[in-house]
Amino acid sequence: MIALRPESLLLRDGSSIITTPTPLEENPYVVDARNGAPWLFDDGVALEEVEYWPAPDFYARTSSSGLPMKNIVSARPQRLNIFPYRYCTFWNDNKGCAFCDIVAQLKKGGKELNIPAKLDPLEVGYVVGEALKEPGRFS
Amino acid sequence: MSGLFFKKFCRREAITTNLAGNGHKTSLDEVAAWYPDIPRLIVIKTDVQRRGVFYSDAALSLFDEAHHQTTGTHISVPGTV
Repeated sequence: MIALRPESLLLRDGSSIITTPTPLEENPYVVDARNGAPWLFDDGVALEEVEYWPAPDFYARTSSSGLPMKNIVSARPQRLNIFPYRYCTFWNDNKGCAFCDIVAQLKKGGKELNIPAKLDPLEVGYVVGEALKEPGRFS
Repeated sequence: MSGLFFKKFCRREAITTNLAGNGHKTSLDEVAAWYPDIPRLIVIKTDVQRRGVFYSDAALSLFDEAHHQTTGTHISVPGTV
């Protein structure tokens, strides 16, 4: 199953970082606790205090089809991500391509999270409406 | 952040490594010094995205599923930490 971990990080200027969890042997930055807060470290040197992305309000709600709303529309700190059609024609020959691993991720999402390959547009619209109810979060 | 900056940033490390011939890795401070007109936080953001992160157990203990966003539906890489 998908490991429970923070989606990603915010810097103190409000900009977001899209992070990839990386094994230590590949020399990633380390997020560790310092004075009760998460900090970015490089080679043991504290660089910057960071924040974990706050969960939007709609993430706790369920859609009309019974799916968690966060499985229909996912969020970044200031925007919404919608994948209306979870398929890539480059994979029609089952060889795929080396550009990204999104198909493997989408297959995993379908298998483990029951996300349909093709989203219901009415349901997407409803979830987006719920997301926009949170004051100041999305624009 | 411009795509040009990102390309120059990545290429500069490769060039430095090749010229030095000793596996020298360009430090964050060196890159920030090369581009004084680029905010340091943008340099950090770019390099963190490039190298990835590892969450310590102490960092994960600060994570609260009720208040923080968890891994999304589009990023779930098997075998990673």
